[in-house]
Amino acid sequence: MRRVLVANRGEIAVRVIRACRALGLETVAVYSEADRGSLPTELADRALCIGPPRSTDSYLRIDTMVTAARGTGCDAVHPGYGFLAENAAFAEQCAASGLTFVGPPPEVIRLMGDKIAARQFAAKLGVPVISGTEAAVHSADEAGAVAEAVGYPILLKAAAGGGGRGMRIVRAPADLREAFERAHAEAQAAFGDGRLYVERFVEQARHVEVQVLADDHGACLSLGERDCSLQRRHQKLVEEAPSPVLSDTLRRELLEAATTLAREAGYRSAGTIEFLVEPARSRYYFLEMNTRIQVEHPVTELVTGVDLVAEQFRVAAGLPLSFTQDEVRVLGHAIECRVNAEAPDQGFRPSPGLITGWVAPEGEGLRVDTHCFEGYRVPPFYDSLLAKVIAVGADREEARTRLLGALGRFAVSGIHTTIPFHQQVLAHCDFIASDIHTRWVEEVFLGSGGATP
Amino acid sequence: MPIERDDLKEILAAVATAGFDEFSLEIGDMKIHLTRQGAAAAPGGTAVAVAPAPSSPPARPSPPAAARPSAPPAPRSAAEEGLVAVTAPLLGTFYRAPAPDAPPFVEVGGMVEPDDTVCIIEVMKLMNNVRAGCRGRVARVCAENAALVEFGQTLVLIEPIA
Repeated sequence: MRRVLVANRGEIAVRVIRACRALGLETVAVYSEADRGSLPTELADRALCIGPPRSTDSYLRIDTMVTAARGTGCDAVHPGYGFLAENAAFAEQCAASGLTFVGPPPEVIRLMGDKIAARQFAAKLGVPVISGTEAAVHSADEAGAVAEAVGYPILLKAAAGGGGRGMRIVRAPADLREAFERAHAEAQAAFGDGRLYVERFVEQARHVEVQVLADDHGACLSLGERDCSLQRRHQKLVEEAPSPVLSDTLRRELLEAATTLAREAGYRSAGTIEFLVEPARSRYYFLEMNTRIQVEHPVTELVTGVDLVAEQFRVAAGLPLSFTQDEVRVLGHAIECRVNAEAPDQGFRPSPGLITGWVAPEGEGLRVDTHCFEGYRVPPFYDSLLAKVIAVGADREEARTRLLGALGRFAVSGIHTTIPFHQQVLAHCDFIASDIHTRWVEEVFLGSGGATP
Repeated sequence: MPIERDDLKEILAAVATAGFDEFSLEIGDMKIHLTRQGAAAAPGGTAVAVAPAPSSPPARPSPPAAARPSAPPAPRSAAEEGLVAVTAPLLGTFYRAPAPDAPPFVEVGGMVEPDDTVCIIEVMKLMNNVRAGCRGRVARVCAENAALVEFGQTLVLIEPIA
């Protein structure tokens, strides 16, 4: 492996290029017209314009990506997250063109991409799943029958799902028909696949996910968990490791279930198995597996000292992982805030535009992953992530204090950001006490006029 | 509300991707009217081009230049010479001829009609014909045969002849 095409944009493209540099790999960046002059294009050894701003005409074009990789003499492709990262056809096309896809085999991407199939796969292995449908439901009536069996409230989810799209909580039978139609339409529009399934809705649940790494030499390791319960509309906003609410027993079970799933699926590379956890009842349920590097991977890196992206490259090059399960140590605590270009006091309205001032915080135990700089224009075409601010400390309180201090020193002007929101969340007594759940932001923080907690 | 050049570029980029055939905007004393070239024609030929309609005079001299969403433009001199750039509609391999032993589609000095193919862009064995887009004389061929060309890169310059 000598030269890598970075098939992505934004902060993850920067992250991948940095890993390549550390490993002595050359990089080729690709960009749409909206990303001309962006940081990854400056950092890479070479940059190519692949199309107009709309991602279906640029970052989502398999043929263009493969042609760009081959035309520039690349031998590997790193997909980052989003865009083509979990596209089995892309992984296949790379292989067919003699390119190493830095990720899992296409069959695993396909299996885990179908959330219903993944759920059945987990259940077969004895990993608990939330009670609900075995297969897709094709009508509101069918969904209603399942809902009666498992009990309201229920969650309608998209089989091709992800990112909260095509997802609806239904609290009463009267709301089912409309919710079903909306979720179906949303899933169809977002994924080209309108199939839905039903799960019992677990109240006051936490989202806990396990990072796994597997190679082609039989190793399948877990690197601890991340707690991503702080979400708004199913979008993660704050992530931390380790989870502050898992007992040692529950943690062991979760890690065990995750590695079993990954091993049995024939997994390779970095992946994440997501679980819903009911701390009060010491229960956990498989949600889905993400077959990519995740946005929030830095919190795991900061508590384990493992460079997950570098390990992805090692594994893709056919090398064994550089450590064993016994050598994995989770030390201290890390918390990450996703700083988005949104106006939190205006309903999180997107706020693209010119960044006129940008001073990112520095300090002990801090890491900032970003592609932004003063004078950068945030394009309106893509996701709103500007930066990830991650703090690590000896314990949760030290990490929280450091992160709060860092956010206070983070000076951005020209556009709105979610920094003020994060400052309020990190200072909130519920967050300090870890007394939150996946709907806490909507139901408690914003519901009670979160500006004055 | 004063409108900045960068604002304009953003608006134009958004319009260019939105699939409108016509677009009008008035902000204060500034008026922009855009029509897509060959809006009625089948898609896939030349790159999307957005140009100010001749009927409404631009309030500033800059819009026509900014109206080109593909930024690595033909050298300014080409524009000053009045040459029209045919740009790559997608990233791929540039071919001047339909087959290795066939004569090139166009030679410098030759005449082209708007619908004439001037070159091919190959993307994974798929051949995409690139049309001249205007009537005129080929002034320059700017890319090398069998080279990888980027989206928006100038391939051929044409001296338009009415």
